[in-house]
Amino acid sequence: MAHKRSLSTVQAALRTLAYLAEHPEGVEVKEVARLLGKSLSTAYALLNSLVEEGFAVKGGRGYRLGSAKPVPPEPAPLEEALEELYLRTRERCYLVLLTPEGVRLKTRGRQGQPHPLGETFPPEWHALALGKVLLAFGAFPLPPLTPKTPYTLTDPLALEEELKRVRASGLAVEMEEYALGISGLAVPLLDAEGRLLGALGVKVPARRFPFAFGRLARALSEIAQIPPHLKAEDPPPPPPPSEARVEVRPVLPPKTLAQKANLQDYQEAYAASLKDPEAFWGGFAREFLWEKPWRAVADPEGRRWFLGGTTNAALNALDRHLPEKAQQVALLALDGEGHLEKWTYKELWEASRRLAGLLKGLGVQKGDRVALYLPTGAEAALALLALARLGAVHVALPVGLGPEALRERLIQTGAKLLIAADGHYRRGRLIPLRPVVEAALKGLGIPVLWHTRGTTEFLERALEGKALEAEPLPAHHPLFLLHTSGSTGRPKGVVHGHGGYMVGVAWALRYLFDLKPGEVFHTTADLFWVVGHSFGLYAPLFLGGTSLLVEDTPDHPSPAAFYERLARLGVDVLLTSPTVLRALRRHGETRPTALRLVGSVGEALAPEVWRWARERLAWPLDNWWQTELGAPALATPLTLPAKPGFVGVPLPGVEARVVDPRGQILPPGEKGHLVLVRAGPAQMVDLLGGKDPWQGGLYWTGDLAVMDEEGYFRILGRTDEVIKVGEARLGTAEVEAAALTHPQVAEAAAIGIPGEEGEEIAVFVVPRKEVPEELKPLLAEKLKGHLLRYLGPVRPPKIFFAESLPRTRSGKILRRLLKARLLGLDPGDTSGMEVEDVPGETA
Amino acid sequence: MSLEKLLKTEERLWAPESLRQQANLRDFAAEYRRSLEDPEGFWGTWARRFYWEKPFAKVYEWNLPEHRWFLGGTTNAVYNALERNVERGLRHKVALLYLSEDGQEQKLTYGELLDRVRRLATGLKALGVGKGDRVVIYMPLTLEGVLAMLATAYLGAIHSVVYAGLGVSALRERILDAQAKLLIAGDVGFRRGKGVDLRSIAEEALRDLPLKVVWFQRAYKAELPEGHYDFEELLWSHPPEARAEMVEAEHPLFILYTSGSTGKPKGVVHVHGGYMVGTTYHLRTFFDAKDEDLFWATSDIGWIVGHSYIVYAPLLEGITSVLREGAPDHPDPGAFWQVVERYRVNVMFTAPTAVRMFMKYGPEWPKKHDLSSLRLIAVAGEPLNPEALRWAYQHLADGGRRGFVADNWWQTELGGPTLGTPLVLPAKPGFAGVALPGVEAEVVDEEGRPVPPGQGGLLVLKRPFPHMMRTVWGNRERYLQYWREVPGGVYAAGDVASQDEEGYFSVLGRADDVLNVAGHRIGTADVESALVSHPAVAEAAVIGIPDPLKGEAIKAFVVLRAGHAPSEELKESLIQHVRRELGPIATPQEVVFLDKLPKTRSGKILRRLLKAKELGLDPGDLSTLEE
Repeated sequence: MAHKRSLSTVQAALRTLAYLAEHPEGVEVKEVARLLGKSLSTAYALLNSLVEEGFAVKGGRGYRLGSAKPVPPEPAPLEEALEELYLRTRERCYLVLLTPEGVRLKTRGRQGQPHPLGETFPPEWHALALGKVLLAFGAFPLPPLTPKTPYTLTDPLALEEELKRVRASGLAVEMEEYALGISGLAVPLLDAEGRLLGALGVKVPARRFPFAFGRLARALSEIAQIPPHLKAEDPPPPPPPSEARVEVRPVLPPKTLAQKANLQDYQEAYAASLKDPEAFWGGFAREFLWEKPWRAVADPEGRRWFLGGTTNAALNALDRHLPEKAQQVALLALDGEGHLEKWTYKELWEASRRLAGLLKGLGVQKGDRVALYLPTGAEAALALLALARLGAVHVALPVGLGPEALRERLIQTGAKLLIAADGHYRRGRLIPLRPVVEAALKGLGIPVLWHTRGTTEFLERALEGKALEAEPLPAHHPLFLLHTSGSTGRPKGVVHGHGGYMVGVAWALRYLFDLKPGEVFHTTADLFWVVGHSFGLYAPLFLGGTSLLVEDTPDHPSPAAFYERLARLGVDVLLTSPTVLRALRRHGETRPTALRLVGSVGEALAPEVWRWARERLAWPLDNWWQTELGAPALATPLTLPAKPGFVGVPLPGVEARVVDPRGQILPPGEKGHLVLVRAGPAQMVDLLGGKDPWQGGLYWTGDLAVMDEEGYFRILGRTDEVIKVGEARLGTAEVEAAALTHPQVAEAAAIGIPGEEGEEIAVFVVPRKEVPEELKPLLAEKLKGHLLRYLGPVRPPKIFFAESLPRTRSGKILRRLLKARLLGLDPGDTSGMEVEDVPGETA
Repeated sequence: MSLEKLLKTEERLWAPESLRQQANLRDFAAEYRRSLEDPEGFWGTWARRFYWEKPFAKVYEWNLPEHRWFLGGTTNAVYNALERNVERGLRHKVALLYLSEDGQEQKLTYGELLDRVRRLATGLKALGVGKGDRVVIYMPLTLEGVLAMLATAYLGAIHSVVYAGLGVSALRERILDAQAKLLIAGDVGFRRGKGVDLRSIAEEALRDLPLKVVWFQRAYKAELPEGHYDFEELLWSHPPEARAEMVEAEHPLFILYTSGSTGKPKGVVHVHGGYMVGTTYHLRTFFDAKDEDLFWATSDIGWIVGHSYIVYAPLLEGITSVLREGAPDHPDPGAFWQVVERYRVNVMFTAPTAVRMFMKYGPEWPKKHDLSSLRLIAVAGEPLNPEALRWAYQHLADGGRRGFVADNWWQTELGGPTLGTPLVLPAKPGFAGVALPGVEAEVVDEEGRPVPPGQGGLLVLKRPFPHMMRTVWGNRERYLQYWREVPGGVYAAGDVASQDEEGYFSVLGRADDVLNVAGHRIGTADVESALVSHPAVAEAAVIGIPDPLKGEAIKAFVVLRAGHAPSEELKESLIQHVRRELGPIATPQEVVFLDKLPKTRSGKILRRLLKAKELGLDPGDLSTLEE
């Protein structure tokens, strides 16, 4: 393969030399520029290369003809190619030469002459486009796959996939894999026999990359004489046989964490909880205040708990701690305006018992349902505690719910009173709520107790109430009603009681989330979700801990603020959702915090996100439960090895199985319905509307799962969203987790769509960074190959690109909406949908 | 003076039975006996509750007037107040509850306080502050004022807080005497809704002194010259890296200036070890503080009460301490009670002058509020007159059905309560109380002979205790004087007192030329020199006259220089001049122009005579009078 300096450059050089010969007194750069009609920097570059080659010398007044005879030097075609590339692209260009002395790197940029950059590559050279070219075409050993940026490929399989693609297309693309903010392209330089001589590359700021990509790729391929190869013409390589599928390697928790874990022996606790629930749960429950002790810890089916016992959740959340924790901070409340309030146990107790008195004065009685439409904050916490104190049932409705949905829920629950805020903060903006509430209430005759934002009226009013002692209540007396988030259809009202719920959530916080005395717990879930109820408010208070409540979204005003907040307020244990983790991972940069553990709940936690959290945040603690269950049911306790992708094992009190649709137990490794035989003390006491999940003695979770030989469960998605491709039945989470292992994927949603032969997989992908239009087909091909490697021999999935995914307000992906949009169907009830969502754009 | 009548009082005001039952110290007599019989075991046991990097080898070594405690031990009082408490699980307990005059609250937990102290200490270290360096703090009552104290002591440096109500010359004098390396000053204080300019006072006091200054700028962020730094910037620009400097038990913790009868204020020196041990002992046993109490000392960090019972003792014990900036009767006379009700204050420590002020406003103000949380009201600073005690007992302690009023007497030099009425003993109107554990007090005549019960004499202390001052900064001689004033190697408190048969002491007033205005000790000499520094004044004499609110008020007698004539304007100008020099607390209430002052033959001004005339008393022996 010949590499000639293009005529234009040679001509320019000849003309310059002729001009220098005419002007022995010396020539300035600008004269040359004028002569050639090129820019100063071009002239400067040309002159410098002439000087380097001995044709010209630099003297007192500019450049003169070199003393050396203008004999053509040894041709250095590869270096000429570098020069040519620079002259065509005007970007920073690189040349890698494979010399007997080793790898040599030359660079050429705007600032003048080429200079060697160094003899060797950095340790993460597999992240460089140039490095990928060398790995794809040369016989180099694989370097250690250490990450350099969040986008660095570190999975050997993913890298092999990438190299295969480089081989096929002759072009390597680096998207911020080596340095954040920098992207690059590279091509191999091959001799006539196809042996690798070196590589040619160019890099640009990532923000310009989408626009520059086409131009650069053309220039590179033309100079390297490699035809443009932007579309993989051949189908992706056949998927490897399924035994080559990525195996799950258990990861041991850090010793220091495991050794200090509150739950030292999971197996023993688990066995004890099933064998002798009386002793196991009874022993723990005795730490709480009971007006009257229970007759039996549970009924034989384990559905009703602490029979005959009377207690009160508010009494145990507050009064119980006053003797030794009156001045300890119970709640840290950060409102949308950025004000941080600290509430001590004594203050919370005082204010909530007076608010209870006020509510009683307003006619609220034991057993009455009171609806709340309040953003996360101290006022909401006070209202919940005051209602619990009275024995009234709190019904927290998600702030942001539209007037129709709000009205429907108010009617359905028969609310006696509504406690509402007139506004809430979202991304720093105060969004008025009064019009929504007023529209929803029209003609209902439900009185409203307003919390006017920006004033202390609500608190002042609360403090006017006559302090009320906690009402002793039967253990199963309803504490709250919550609507399930509606990711799958019409909302149901789940009712939880005082006694069992208290024992269950407190146990989980101490023994699963491992909260120690004096630690700060924070959940990013809003107070009006079950996670907020259980772990934002009740469990931390039951244990006498400190809970941080934040009104606005976690990453507002920036992800940096999130880390800063955790560090400044000394948060020890975080409970968040995969959505939040993915958003943080997408942002990339992290900052140090004092986090010890990060719990994840709400959806399946993909292994890639698990690994990211492990490296960047803290030890991840995946856990699975539902509104109906009140507290975690499956999880990986701290002392067990974690298997990324697997949520873990059943927790004490819980018996879980994978069964076929008729309830027959399936062997390990087979996909099926996840059911519970026993569900622990925190399970619901009642259900309003909807089908009872308990059928035939089993609790049907509606999730598709698989259990491995060691009893670890992996959640694969909802059973009603299973994708049947050919013989295979794939869970949505399964496909999504595979997609997330690709470094370019920030979020993914998988659905099944009707195809020519049965169902096909469609994957909606939100790329981590903007992908140039030209690159999308390429990336789609990359992703298809990538997915097939994980999913085994199925028909290649369809890839759609989107800027965001529709999700419920609690952060779950609304797959049925994606499907409806794609197929032009009716999306059904979308009242639970996040308002900000924009419909996905497809490619 | 109806001393006899006073001492024959049969009146006994008891704390409610339930309070006595739950008192931290129930058997006072036994405890007192043990404290004197076995000081080693008594103080040693208490001291071992704290962290000592190197345990002390010996509890005490007395060689009076020298006395040293916890010899061989190394520790740090701030480490004990912060790290120790954070480590024993109080990270998220509220350490300081700050209330501004307009009711804004701010809470700092032990964890946060430690973080900030470490940051500020790192910043101070960067400015060159190290072990033994003096840092003068001229700050309003704010969290930042407390931070400045703690960060300084954390580094083993010595803080000297100057009350932000003192004026230019008082501040300058203290900076010079302490040879301070750094000044941490506020720009403005708030009282009665108005800003008090501190910046110009500090700037003037600093004139020509090569001192680095850290400004706590609340009003506005000024452009700062070189060597001047912004407090918040210094705090937040440094990581919480600094670690507590472990110092010998006898290493000075702070210098606190107090007025004496002679010209110069005395820099009373307290040390890490003994001060920590002694002040906390009394917090628990005398103030009866429980772990979960809200403790509110209404003083200012500029005074010893603030040092001991706003800052050090409560923090050392892991108790929540309230600090509130502003006047007790602003925005209304119920302001204090509003705080008590809102925050459920359990123990309050205030001054007789405040009690008299509440008395003046009437019982309807406390009655408007729910004071059910208030268990103990301790009062100190000057003698609490019987009416005020009875009133407080009646209206603040619900006539003894809910709480107790505990009078106590001590001084800057003594660090903590010395005489007082513990919860388990009855209060007697007119009496401060009995000698507290560790204290051996006596009333003697000028020769050091004990006087019989019921007779007046000089109050002396016959043995030292851990939290008693170690020396006067830069003036050993002045320290020794305390012990030489009265023969017998005893500490002369400078107060006149009497003792009854039951061992109760009644403190009657100062024996020297020191005024006690609203609980603040003001040297007559200070006011006189301030007056003389006015160009119109040739000579001046100052006396204290009884004041129903402040206890004592200042009256000045002035002889003008030739060419100046008495006038109302001049009077006002003199008052303003003193105010500027010494601060508002030393403002003379009255100024009288005289042709000459009564003097002794040796030329000493006879204030006694002026006072006797003023009060219509017998001036006593005038044999030394010039004319």
